[in-house]
Amino acid sequence: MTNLQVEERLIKMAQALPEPTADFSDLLTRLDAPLAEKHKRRHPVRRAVLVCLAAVALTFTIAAGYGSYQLSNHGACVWPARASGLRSEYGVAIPEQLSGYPLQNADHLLVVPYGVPYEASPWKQVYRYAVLYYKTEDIIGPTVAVGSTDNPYWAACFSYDPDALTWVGDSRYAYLNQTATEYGGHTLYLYDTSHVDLGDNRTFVTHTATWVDAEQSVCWQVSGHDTAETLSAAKELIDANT
Amino acid sequence: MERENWLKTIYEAHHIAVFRFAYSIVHNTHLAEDVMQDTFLKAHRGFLDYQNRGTERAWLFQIARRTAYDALKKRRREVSCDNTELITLAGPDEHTAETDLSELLRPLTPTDRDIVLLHVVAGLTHQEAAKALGRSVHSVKKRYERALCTLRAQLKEEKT
Repeated sequence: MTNLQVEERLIKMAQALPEPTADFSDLLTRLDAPLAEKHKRRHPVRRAVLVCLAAVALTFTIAAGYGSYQLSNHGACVWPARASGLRSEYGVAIPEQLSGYPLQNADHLLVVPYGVPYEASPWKQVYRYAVLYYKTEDIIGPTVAVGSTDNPYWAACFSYDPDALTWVGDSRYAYLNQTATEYGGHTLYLYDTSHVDLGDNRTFVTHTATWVDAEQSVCWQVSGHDTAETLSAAKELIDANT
Repeated sequence: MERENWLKTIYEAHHIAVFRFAYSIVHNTHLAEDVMQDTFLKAHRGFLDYQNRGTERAWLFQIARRTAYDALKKRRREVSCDNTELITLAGPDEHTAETDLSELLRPLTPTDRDIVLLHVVAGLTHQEAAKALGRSVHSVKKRYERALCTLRAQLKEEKT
């Protein structure tokens, strides 16, 4: 028996599987209900959100070519994320410590369509992912981003090229020292990002590890002071989620 | 309206494959129907500016796989059973075809089993399966071939 014959047998078995009984009209009746519920949930916090937004400085960056722009919240006021909430939302384990640094803060970054004002971002968002900040009072440790891959925008937010099946950069930055390594059943893509701060006229290098946990359908991205710290933090996260 | 037309198009093109794929994971027709509907609802909500229709199938089955596993986890918490009990809960008509496929794929790792299901049930190419699973095409190809070898050895054993 050849592999092709095995494949043909499997396909025959698959074709003998049952078919669904529901039709498209059944789906249509469910279309509006979940969205309406989401909208209703937002209303009670709208006032508090607007007050908070007014007090926080927001910056905008354009995610070119994806019909949306990304809001970056640098304050701890709006959309703070809690480790327990992130565990529930993304189905992942969030360690309270990473590389010896405690988890100090977590935010959600939101992606909204063009033209949507930032005040409306919480309920107009098309995608969001979480950023976790590990640091002591004096020293900044690793930064971790985690987002669901069950949405096409994840590729833009994590700079993933679905055609090249790898992580590629924004043309403003130079991606250096790209390597891949295997750990815990995952392929980690490691790279350094070099970018120039024109204000200070200095070049900064960020060390990043990115991987997809297909079982949990999430993408992780860890950035650290150097490659060793970044890789170590990535491994800790993978271990915590095994 | 345009979005609903798009939804109808992809529903008509893929709903049977999505259902069968979900069914192969959750082993229950009612749950598979829920997973199928939830998959298209999520696709409808998540679409908006999606331009790359070439990866539409991969994206859809990525959602389907995640939704099926979530449903399975939830059902296991509720029912607290193993695969045997889930098969018992299924009707006698559904038992034969699904049990055969399920039994045959049992020696595979969950990831390898999903790779096989994406190929033979969903009809995805290596490239699409790789995108759906967030893995490289090379990895998917190797795992698929290895899985077929494992199944070939198993089928040979059954004959003897």
